[in-house]
Amino acid sequence: MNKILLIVVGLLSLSLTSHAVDHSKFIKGPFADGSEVTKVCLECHEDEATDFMLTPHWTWSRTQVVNGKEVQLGKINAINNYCSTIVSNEVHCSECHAGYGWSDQSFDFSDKTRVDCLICHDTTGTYHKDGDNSGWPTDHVKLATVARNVGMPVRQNCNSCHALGGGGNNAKHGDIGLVLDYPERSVDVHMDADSNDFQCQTCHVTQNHYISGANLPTAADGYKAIACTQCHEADPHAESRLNAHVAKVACQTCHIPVFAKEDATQMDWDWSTAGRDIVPAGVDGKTVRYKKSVGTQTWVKNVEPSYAWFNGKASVHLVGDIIDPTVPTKMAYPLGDIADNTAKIHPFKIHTGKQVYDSKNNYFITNHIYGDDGFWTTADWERSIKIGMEASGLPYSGEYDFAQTTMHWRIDHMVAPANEALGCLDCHGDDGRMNWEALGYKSDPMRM
Amino acid sequence: MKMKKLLMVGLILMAFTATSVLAVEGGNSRKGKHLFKNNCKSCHNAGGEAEELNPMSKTMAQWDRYFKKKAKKHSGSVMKDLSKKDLKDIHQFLFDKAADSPSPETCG
Repeated sequence: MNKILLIVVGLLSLSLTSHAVDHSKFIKGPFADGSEVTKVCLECHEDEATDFMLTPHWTWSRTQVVNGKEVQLGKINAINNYCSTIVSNEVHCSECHAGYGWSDQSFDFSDKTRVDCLICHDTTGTYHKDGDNSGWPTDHVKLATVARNVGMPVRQNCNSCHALGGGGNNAKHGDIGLVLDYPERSVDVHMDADSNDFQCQTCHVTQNHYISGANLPTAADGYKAIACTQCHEADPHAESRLNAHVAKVACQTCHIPVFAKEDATQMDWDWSTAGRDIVPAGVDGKTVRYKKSVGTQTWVKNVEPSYAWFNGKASVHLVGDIIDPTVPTKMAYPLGDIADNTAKIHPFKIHTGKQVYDSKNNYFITNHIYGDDGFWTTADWERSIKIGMEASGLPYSGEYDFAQTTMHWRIDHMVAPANEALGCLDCHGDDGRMNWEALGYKSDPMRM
Repeated sequence: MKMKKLLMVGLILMAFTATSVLAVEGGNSRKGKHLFKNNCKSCHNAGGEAEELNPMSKTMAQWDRYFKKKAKKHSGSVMKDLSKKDLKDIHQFLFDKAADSPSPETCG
């Protein structure tokens, strides 16, 4: 059955390739800027732009139920424990917006000519946007060449943003780094560039430019989540004992024994040390790194995941939510428990942090980090906080401190070859990796 | 003396200009890394049948010169089997990560 599915996927990929249109016949150039390219794209693809503008890759927001309430949530207003929020930092953050010119809150989300087609459809690998220009491509990009060579996206296109979010290669997700551009089988069996060579959209099935998949912090409702069972059977093992696990254990749990293969991921970001001229103790420049502009960061390779029950939905901390600074605030975490029949034990990366908060009002601060007056330049907490809070409209008491945070990131990529999947004793052995008590068991269920 | 200094500055500037004229551009560096691993590292590794190579083995100008002049003389068929586009991608990767580049890289 799996072989048939693989053949179908292969044929589908081939048919997609065979229908690729040589755009060099229609597009000439030169182009003054990216928006001029888009205008040419719109001559044939206006509907595609309209469809695209309804998706979170453009809106960075979606109506969804979070913590029992219907809210607008997306990157546009989310708060995380990396750079916190995008408000007042749009010039920098919109590097990863599939649009042009989002420099402040006045950006016109109804203007089709601002859609950036090239960031996803460049096939030359030369298209590039830097974090200092409101999502416009860098000057060295040869727009006419890129435009004449558009095609279906490959992993490298998606990775240009998804592998680099949070301030570096594989900083955020842990299971999405630049190594997935052209990975070897040992890194990911599906994306193995010399064999299966799945592109992102092989699993993240895309319709009308809406790319399926549910990132935990921004799709807390699990909308359009994807699953291994899109291709694999629900009980795929020849061994019945293994199939008995699938009701309670996600495929990823056994088949992704480690993440951050080849590229280290950031596991901790302590903002409280930022702004100092003296490097804090414990910094070695490799695992623990320090920069005055960002504070202390810990980067780790080949990380064993943490495990939690997950029913596909999440709870997310929203801007302005009150915190208890004496305990770590969970910025995003999976929902579900041992009594939830829809939940399975799932692997996660848990990123920890220390973030600036308003110590009278007890909520996190929406800091202004980018630009001449931003923290990265001035290292002045008071000044940057005031600008950031004014931009977000959150009252600032005038007093700040730092509070601990945690944030769960689901681990779905870097699926290992079958012979490297977890064995029985990896979880049920004397030194197994599961914390059974934390999962709600009295002890190892195999021994009960 | 002043004239000599001016001449020196002029010569240095000319050298930089010459380098930038030669510099490879338009290749896909990220794909080049993959192609370099698959096609070059099999021989050019520690203990391999050819001298170990990584991007930092040469400067940007040296990589440019290699691909412009010496690559044709590479033994075996590997250089002929690779397409022009693949060679440009490999060249771009090695150039972008060369010893004197802004982001040198040892791996590959």
